[in-house]
Amino acid sequence: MGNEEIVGTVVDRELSYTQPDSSHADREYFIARSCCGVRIGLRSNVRALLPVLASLIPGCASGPPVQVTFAIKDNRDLDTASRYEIALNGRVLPRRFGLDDALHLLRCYLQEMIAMLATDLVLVHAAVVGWRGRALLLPGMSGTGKSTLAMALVELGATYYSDELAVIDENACVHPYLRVPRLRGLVGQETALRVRQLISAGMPAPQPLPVSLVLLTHYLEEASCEQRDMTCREILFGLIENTVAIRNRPELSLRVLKEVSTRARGVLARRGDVRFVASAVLAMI
Amino acid sequence: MNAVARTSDIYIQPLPTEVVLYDRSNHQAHCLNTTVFKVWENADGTRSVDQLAEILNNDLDVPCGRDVVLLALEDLRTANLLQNATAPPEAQLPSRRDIARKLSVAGLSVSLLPFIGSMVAPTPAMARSGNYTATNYRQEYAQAMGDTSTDLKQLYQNKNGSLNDLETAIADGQGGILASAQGNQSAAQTDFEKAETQFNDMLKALGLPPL
Repeated sequence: MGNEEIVGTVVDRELSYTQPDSSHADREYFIARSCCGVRIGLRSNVRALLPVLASLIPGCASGPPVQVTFAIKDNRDLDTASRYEIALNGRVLPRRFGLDDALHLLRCYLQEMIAMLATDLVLVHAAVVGWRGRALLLPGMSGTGKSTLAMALVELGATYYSDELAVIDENACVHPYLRVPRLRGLVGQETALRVRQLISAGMPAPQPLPVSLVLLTHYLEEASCEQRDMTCREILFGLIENTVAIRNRPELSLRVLKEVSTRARGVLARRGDVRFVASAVLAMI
Repeated sequence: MNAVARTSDIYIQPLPTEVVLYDRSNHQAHCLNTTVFKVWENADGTRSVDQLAEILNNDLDVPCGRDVVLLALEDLRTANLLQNATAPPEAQLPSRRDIARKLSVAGLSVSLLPFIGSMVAPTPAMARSGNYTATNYRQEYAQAMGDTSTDLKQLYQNKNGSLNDLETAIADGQGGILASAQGNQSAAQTDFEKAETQFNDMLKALGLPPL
């Protein structure tokens, strides 16, 4: 069985893929990516999947030796859509998935692994933008509108850092996690497309920025922007709630999150349409 | 019996005016205000309630120290931050309102009233983005439900109430899988959410962290 190192940077990070190639069924292909200082190997018996695998996490092709390997295998013998297996360091999950679910699950596992292995970095689920040398964190679960708000802020001139993960170091500075933004609604799609093109064109990673504002917000139809400042504890708990590896690395996580919660302003807000509140948000930073 | 603070599996992270204790044993984060932290810090089994009250009097200038200590100990016991957690308080608990009134009368801030804010730290799956819901990963969910229920049935076979909740949760989960297979995603979502709630209620009743 031959391995094949794919050289070059994959820039199309959309989760689109070509139909798996039925030839070379016995071969296995390999690619490695570095993200947040963690080197991850990705294997598949479907060559066409390698660009898709590489697109699951931002990062570069070069880096230190591979620390962990994920594999996705197409069991072509099975006459069902749920025929994709996922393996972590050779250990195969006991179930098979459809391709979409397999890729989504793999992306989640990759994020978790990076969160557990990244040295001195804490990963929090949040959208991040930079504004005048400072960073705004928008922590929240999926569906709270953080990506949409981030795109609205980018539209006003803020720098895109991430729409999914805030990578925070021990100095409470946030590093870019340049994933292609994904929006559910129509609002912000044009901006997201421009950001996607920039990332695809090899947009240089912006510098780490100190976190200046943590905004916990959720969308309420018809709501005006109602807000109040949060206490240090509230900011900390709000961040803990969205921290990927808090259970695995509580000491590091709490140390870093404490720095953020003591240095940054925290605001809890209900908001209406992002188009009407984005400039008010920038004014808070 | 003098109270003894539980310090094993506890990681301490001070904040400017409060202290966060992270309990590795159940992955709960507790934020203690200064009053409760002082009690927890000094509850080493050698100090009585009166002695702890004296420490509060000296360090924080809290005049109604004994009542405050009893309330703080009860809060600590509830948060599972005492070793002898099953021991009841030595006297009937004072009312929080009475203590607040006494503090106000003495010209002290009500923020000295014992307070613990707690939360369960999320698992990676809970914290992950991408709407990790039962519906999205129904197979994984069903598998997890099945595995957990097998374990729980063995562990808690005598706890009928929990077992009933478990059976209901499994039935709802299976209903959700069926509805999903039939293409009724709305009904599936409802069933999965009900199952998740019942399952978590059962876990809570057993003193376990939620899924």
